[in-house]
Amino acid sequence: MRNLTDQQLRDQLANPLTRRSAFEETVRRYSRPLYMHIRRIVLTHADTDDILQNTFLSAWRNLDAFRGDSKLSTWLYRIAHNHSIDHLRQHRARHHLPIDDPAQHTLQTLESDPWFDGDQTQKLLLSAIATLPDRQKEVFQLKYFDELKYSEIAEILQTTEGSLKASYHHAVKKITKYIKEHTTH
Amino acid sequence: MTNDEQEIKKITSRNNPLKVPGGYFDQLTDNIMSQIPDTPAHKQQPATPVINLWDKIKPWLYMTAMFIGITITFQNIKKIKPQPTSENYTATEQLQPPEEITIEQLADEAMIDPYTLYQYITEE
Repeated sequence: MRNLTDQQLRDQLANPLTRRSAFEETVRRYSRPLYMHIRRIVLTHADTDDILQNTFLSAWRNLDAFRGDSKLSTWLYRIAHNHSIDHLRQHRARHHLPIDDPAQHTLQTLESDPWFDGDQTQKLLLSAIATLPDRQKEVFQLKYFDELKYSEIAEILQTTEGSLKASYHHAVKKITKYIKEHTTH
Repeated sequence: MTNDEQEIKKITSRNNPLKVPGGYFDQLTDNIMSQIPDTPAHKQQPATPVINLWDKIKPWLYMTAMFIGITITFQNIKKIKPQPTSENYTATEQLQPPEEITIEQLADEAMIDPYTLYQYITEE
């Protein structure tokens, strides 16, 4: 099962007799990259754990809706990404968080999480990402950290590749500018 | 890779600051699989209930019986309660005593004074 290609895994997921074992392999194969993707959005381990489990449970419930038009990984990323964004919105609404200083809020969240072990520069990078507009933030994380192709990102975010390239370019510029401005020499 | 990207790379090439508890991913797979029922997802949906012929015609039968019942009830009520005919209607009218009106009331309604009315009556 572990040596299956993505296509073979999809075929086994479509077969009711092999679905459960194929899904177990799917969880094993994609839990790490999806975890990191979710974690970079919501920042804390506890929230990431909840969202990751909900992502896989949601994927299991909707397996019949997965037609195989897209890659399995892209489909899972889309579910994980949507769950993470929903979580952020609910969290902001529940705690009435101000959105005027996202960098400061990011720093506080990172420092309160016992599973964050980064130095000042890494905190600065995550704070810089937090200052980006939502779309630029999403594109940057999917492109830079998850190393997905523009075509895959376009499928996850339901947009065109052209606008993604522009967003990514702006995001990189803003992040380097922010880091330069906030680095003490 | 652009210069800007290389600059960011310098930071991210260090160790990953987002740590995970030991053995988390091994337990995660078991944890998720334990929340998934043994039967495949598509078999979990309840089967479509089979409706037999009796169940299909039952509401129509009840409704028809109800209308027949109402019709019979109204017909019986009509038989018990006699309808007024033109003959007994006249008799009923004749049995009622005529309403008494005084000269004063009549004069008031005609808007003339009673004396003029008396004069008019006596002239006849």
